[in-house]
Amino acid sequence: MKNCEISAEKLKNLYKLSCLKQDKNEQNIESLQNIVNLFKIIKDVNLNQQNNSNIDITKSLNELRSDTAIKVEPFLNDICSTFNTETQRIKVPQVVEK
Amino acid sequence: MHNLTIKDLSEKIAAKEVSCFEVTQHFLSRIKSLDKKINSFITVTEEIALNKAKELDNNFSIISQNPLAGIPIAHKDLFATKGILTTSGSKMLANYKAPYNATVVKKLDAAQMIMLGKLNMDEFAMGSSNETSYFGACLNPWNTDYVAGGSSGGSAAAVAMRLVPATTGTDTGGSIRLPASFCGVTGIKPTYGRVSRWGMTAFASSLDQAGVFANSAYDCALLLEQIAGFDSKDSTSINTPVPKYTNSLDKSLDNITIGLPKEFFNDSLDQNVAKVLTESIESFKKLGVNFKEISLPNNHLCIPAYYILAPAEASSNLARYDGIRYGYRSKEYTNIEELIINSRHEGFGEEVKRRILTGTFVLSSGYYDAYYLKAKKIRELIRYDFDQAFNKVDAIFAPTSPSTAFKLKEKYNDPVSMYLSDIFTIAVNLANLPAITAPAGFINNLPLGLQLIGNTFNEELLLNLTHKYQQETNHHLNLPYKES
Repeated sequence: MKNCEISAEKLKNLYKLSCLKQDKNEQNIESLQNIVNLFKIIKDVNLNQQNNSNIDITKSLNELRSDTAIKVEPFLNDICSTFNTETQRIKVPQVVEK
Repeated sequence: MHNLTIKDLSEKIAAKEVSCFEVTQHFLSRIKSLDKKINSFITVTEEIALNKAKELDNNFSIISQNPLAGIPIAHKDLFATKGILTTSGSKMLANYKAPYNATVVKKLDAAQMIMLGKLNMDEFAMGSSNETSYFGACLNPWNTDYVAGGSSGGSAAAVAMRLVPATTGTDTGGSIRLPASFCGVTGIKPTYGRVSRWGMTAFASSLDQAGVFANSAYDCALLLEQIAGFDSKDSTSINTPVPKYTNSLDKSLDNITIGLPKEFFNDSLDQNVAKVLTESIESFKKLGVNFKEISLPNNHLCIPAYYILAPAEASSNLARYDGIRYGYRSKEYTNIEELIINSRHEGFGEEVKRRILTGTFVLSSGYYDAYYLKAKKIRELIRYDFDQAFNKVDAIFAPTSPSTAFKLKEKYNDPVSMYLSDIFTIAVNLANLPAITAPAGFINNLPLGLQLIGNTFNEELLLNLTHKYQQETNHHLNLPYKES
């Protein structure tokens, strides 16, 4: 339990999630601990004992075809036009409704 | 009008018995009067829908060329829709308007379907009950004390309530099939790579797949043949021909063998669920289908493997929400670090944060080999189990869920119990297979769905089996309300 709590705090920092007092309540910590316990089944599986000589268990799932996406030249003109020489800043187009 | 199938409605439009404008108005008025009971819509695009309907009525030649022309549809709110809110059920994107259309949206738009709006869902598709939505839970149309299922709860509930004849959804671990079972509608999750993921908010990219909901397998076939196909914008889209699914729905099932996994059908299966599914098996037998026991020996590893792999991918995919480029921005900050942390803390809900944490945990140094890498290898074992099974059978019959819909808040504070709701659906995603859920019966007035799992790219057989089953049974015709 203690280990999990420490890890959670480290991870929150790593993934830019603040760890406020109210997040550290017993229920949240217990939930996280239960999830980590669920993972332990995986940790304890002995893959060498599996009767699976035909399976390539290291086969990556990332067998992607070669990327056929068309390369597009950067919109230099568009970017240049948004650059403010006085402030030395680029005005980013807004896509969020206020 | 709302009880008609897409096929029947399309014929009426083509015969000029009803105009697209009348159809659109009818469904919009149902949404206005009935959706407040179930909360299935996040956004209703009334003006856009009525304008498109008028446009179609004025260009009638378009209608005769498209069997889906003039048919209303609504999209799960994680499909990008140009200029229209695309919230992904999150406060983080509550004000986000997509600058482009997802491929699925584009294809259905090209088929001249009329979009009525965007549908409620679990936040970033993370949930099995639709309770994690920032916009409130979507309720089950059969009994509003119960959940609609998730994550595509709005998509299933809206079809069940006949607010719209067709909806889109996505399925990462059962998010189409579970709500389809809970709400008593038909939903298909195609093979990974069959439908483009371009323009879908990413949750777990190696598992996410778009699919559809409707009130019959026939209607699902019509919709799937429209959205399936290669898309160069999605690097995992597969370039393989898409069959005309509606042409093979009436094929004979005489030489078909379906597998019954012994790990699913044993004493631990709820007796009421077993009874409903046994009746379905008998119906299939009457259609000429043979059944055979099979084994999926590593199925018990699916839940832990999935809840390692999916959050790992999610933690990476959700790193982009930093309050800077787009999405929610906190008002409380004094520097950029605080801006990012506070925006993410305030913008994400509890379940999303939990998954980011667990995902980061399994990817972090010291745990990567023990958890993430091991789970990837176990995924191959699960896939191998299915390969072995499909050497013996044509399709696999399974429960969709361990029970009918559960009560609101029943599992909300117990994530592991919620995760176990997906026990019969997750393996399909890990093995990248197609599967369909269709209504099979009722337990205490709540619907329950059967699940058929097919071999890679064999959606055709799943639709054929379900269509024939629906010709013999009437579970899919039941309504969650009384007509006045």
